[in-house]
Order: sequence, then C-alpha cells, then structure tokens
Amino acid sequence: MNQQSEFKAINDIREEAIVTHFRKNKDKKVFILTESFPFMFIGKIKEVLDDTAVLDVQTTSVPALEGKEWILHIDAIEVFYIETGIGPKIPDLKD
Amino acid sequence: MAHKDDDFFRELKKLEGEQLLVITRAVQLDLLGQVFRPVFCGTVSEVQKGHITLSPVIIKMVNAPFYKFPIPLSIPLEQIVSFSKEVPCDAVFPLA
Repeated sequence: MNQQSEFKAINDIREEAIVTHFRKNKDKKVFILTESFPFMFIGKIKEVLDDTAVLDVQTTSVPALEGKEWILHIDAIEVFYIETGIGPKIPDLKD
Repeated sequence: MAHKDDDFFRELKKLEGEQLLVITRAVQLDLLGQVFRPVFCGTVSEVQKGHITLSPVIIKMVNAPFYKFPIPLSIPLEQIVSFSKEVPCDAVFPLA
C-alpha cells in the first residue's frame, strides 16, 4: 500500500470515529460551530444517517431557522460539545 | 495502516492534562455575531479516536483574547490544522 492511500485511510478512520461518537450520543444535547452559515447550532441529536446528523435545532444565530429539523454534515463541524450529564450544561446562549 | 494512526493517537493520549493551543481549519467562526479566528487554548481533558476535548477552554477573540468559554469544546482531529504545547494560554499575539 503506498503512502498516499495510508494517509487517506487514517482520515477515513477519524471521520468514522466522529460519526460513531455522534451515533453513541443520540438524544443528547449538542452545541456545534460551523464555518458556514448560520455558524451555530444548539439542539438534540435525533439520528445519525451515514455521515450526517439529524438535529432538532432549538437555537441558532438566526431565530427564523430555529425550532426546525436540520440535517448537518458531520465532516463540516468545526468544534462541538455534547452534553453528557458529567460535564457542564450547555447554557442558553441567547442574549 | 491502523498502527500508523496508533502512533499519533498514543502521542495525543500523553497530552491529557496538558495545555494546548489549537488552530482549526475555518477562516473564521461566528458566535452570535462575534467573528473570530478559530484559535483555542485549553487543557486537554479527553482524547478519543476522532476528536480531542479542551476543558476549560479559552477562545482567542480579537477584543477578548482570554474569553473563557462556558462549556468544554471538542475538536475533530480532521479539523485541526496545527497545535502546540509550547505556547502558553496567557501568551499575547496578534490575531488579525
């Protein structure tokens, strides 16, 4: 196996690990930042389909986009935090 | 294939409890209208196969370079561009 495909495999392993992590945390509340509009999502992970998360979105930067079901490409998540009950709770970031 | 990944993973695991400065891929991020560079500094609280978690974590905003974020942040390894354990979280550097 050449080096290029080895690296590719590592990238795939990591992406798969993130998807697995989201699937394990179904029904948990999550905070997500993405580079793309609308930049922030806070909501519940309803389902994980392939490499996408189905979210029940309570809060975004844009009120008109809230209270809806959103499907988010997990590879596009820049940073996130899943509320597990051990760590701190996600605050209501609305001003 | 997998053992190559394990080497790096084992090195990452050693960073648990250490302070890390982490830069991610986005040109900029937006937190409720506050635009900032994706520069995070914090203590590594968790290392998993696909992500690391910083807790507590500060976001280096231009106007608030030591803004302590109220919750931990997990960063997918695939989004990390670079990181250093030799830049302390209280270091001051331009963010523009």
